[in-house]
Formats: sequence, C-alpha cells, structure tokens
Amino acid sequence: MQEAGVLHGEAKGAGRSDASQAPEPFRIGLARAFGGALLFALPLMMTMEMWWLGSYLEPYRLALLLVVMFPLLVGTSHLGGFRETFRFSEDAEDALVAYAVGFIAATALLLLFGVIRYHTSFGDGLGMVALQAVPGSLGALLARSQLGGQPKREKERTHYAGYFGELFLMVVGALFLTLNVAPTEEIILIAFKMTEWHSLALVALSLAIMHTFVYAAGFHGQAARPEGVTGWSLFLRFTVVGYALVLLVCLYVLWTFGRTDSVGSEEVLSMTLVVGFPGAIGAAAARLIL
Amino acid sequence: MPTPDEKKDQPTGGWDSGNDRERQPSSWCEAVFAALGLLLVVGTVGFLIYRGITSGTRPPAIRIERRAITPQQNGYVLEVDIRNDGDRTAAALTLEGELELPDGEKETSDVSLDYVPSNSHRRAGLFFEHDPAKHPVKLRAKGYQEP
Repeated sequence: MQEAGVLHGEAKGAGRSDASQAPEPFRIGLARAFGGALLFALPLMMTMEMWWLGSYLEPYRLALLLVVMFPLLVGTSHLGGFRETFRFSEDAEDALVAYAVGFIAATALLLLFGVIRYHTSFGDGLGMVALQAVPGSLGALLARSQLGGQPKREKERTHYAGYFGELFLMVVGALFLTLNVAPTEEIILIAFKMTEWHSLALVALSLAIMHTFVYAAGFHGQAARPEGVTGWSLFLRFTVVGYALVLLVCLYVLWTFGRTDSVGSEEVLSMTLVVGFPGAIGAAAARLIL
Repeated sequence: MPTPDEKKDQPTGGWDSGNDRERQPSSWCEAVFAALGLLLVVGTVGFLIYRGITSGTRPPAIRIERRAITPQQNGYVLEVDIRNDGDRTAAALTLEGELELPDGEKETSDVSLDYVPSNSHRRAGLFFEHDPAKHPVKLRAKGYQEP
C-alpha cells in the first residue's frame, strides 16, 4: 500500500484490486492534519516572541518565508511517502491544504488565547497568524507519519530517498526545530554567555549527534543504507554537508526574525551555532519523524 | 487495508492509485480546502508585499486618547488608548500622566508598554489620587526602543 500524501494516503487502502475496501474519508485526514498542526505548532503559539514578531516583522521577510515554505511542503508531501513517481499536482494540493489547516488552527488559537482581539489591527493579526501558519502547516503534513494509522509505515520508511532527498529531509527537520527556538530571546542570551571554546564544543557535539543519528538510526536498518558506504564516507557526504545546510537554514531563520540586524558578524556566527544545535538534532531526526 | 498479496499486485508508482481517490465523493471537500489554502497564502503574501511597498520608515508617532475615569477606593484610574501612527514599532514605550493641582503641585503617574506596533493600539491605565476629571492632566509619551 502506498500513500499519496497526508490527505490522499487514506484512500490508498482501496487499491483497484480491492474495490470492496472503503477508503478513509478526507475528513479523517483533515482531522489528523489539525492534530498535527496543534501538536507541532502549539509551543510556538504559546510563545510571546512569536506574537510580537508577527506584528513587527518586516513584511517582505514574512512573505518570503511563506513562499519558501511552499516547495518545502510539496517536497515533504512527496518524500513522506517515498514514491518513485512524482505527481506534482497532488503534492501541491496537499501543501495548500496544509497551509489552510495552519492558518485556520493559528487563527482559532490566537483568538482563543486572547492574543488577537477586537482592537488588533488587520495587518497585525494577519502577520501573527501567517507566522504561526508556517510551523502549523509543516505540522499538518507531518501528522501523517506521527498520527497516521498506517500499519505499513514502518516498512515504507526504510526506503532511501536518494542523496538529495535525504539532504532535503534534513533541511525540513532542521527548519522545524529551528523555528521552535530561534524566536526566543534565550538564543541571544546563550550566544552572549558562550565563549569561542564553548562554540567549538557545541559544533563538535552537533556533528557527533548528527552522525550518530545518520549512521545508527538514519536509515532504519542496514537494508536501506546505500551499498558499499563506509562510516567516513557517510560522515563527509551526509553529516558534514547536512550540518552546513543546517547552519544555512539557521542563518536564514535568524535573518527572517530580524535577529541578525545590526549585529556583529561574530555574534551572528555564535547565534547561528547555538540555533544550529537543535537544528542539527532536527535534521538528524528528520528521518525518524518523516 | 489490502493484504500483502494485493499490495504486491499494485504497481510501484503509488501515485496511480491517486486516480482512485479523485473518484471519491469526498474530494470536492479537499479541493475546497486546497483552494482556501491557496487563497490564504496568495492573499497574505500579496498583502504583505503591499504593506512593504506602501509603508514608510517614519519613527513611531504616539497619540494618546483618554477613555473612562473610574473612581476607586484610594483614588481614580484614568484609562488611555495609545495609538502608533508611525511606520515603525515602538518597544518599551513609556508614558507619563501629569495631573496639576490648583496649588501648583503635580501628581505624576507612568506606565510602560512592551510593544506598540505601527497602526495598532494598546490600552493602559494611570492611577491618580485626585480626580483627573476635575484637574488638568497632561499625557505624553516619554520614549521607546526599537524592537
């Protein structure tokens, strides 16, 4: 049984040779998507920096974040099922549904928490909702693998997504965890507290953790690991390249949140490495989550 | 769920079975949600770009409006609405109210607000011992910080 995506997957139980099998209706997938949006985005909806960022973030950066998320959502929808063939329209449809779920969940909860009130200006409220919709939509797509009742999933996930597919998954995982920590003031504070030696140690630990995941858990067993690949080759091809991508993701997220504005380059590097730590864990664990 | 045998019979390209889904009666609902998502994203991005183009870089311009005065056990509270007509957000905005008594003495109260974004308003209250309705009260924003 294959899955097409978070919301299509349910219908796959009804293969053409099995017409009697009733497909899971769309609303079940939708409920699961809302569950995922809540599970993954609730911590951010309850983070005050996210509300403030939503209202004072530069509009261009927020718009860019929403646009950048689209190919990531489409790719996540595609790779989540690890299929050989790629029908873009269905993945795009899933990504758009995920956006809708993210927006609706964010609006409902921000209203419920009293963050958005009658006197909140339209631009203010929209900014807050749009910012929350980004992790929300990703959560909606991840819901399939986390909350999905797909008994065959474990087996399917052992598929190797291809080199660039693996790197793509790392970027998505890194983005996900990075979004969770980058808006907080603590990142700046930690960067201030750390010396260069602390930073170096953090880089070493990030790489070590990433490599452990990639090597030991990343491919869910030996069968799926590409043939004839040694530990060092894995380290150079996946861990190091993955970590570099993680740092770029962190830099992008920090820039989006205005954390790099008028900050010295050393401090920017320090912050990037701090955020890069959860980012690296997210990247490494992406294979387990997705 | 198909049995393992049926699974084997299926072609590897799982997308093919997507055709089956499109024949499901529930797919219009999915199309509605996808359309809603498209509308929300395109609309939001469009609005943000519009806002980016139209908004200037003027510093915060704070306007303070008086609201209700409520007598309390130890004095009065004067509620105020703080509006930011500028283009930039004022963070850590401080506000002062100065009530002038007939004998020339002054009673001051102040309040600070975390964030007042552009074109938004926040409500705050200033406590006074004397009735702000019966004495002249000067309200002014004292300073802010860029977020």
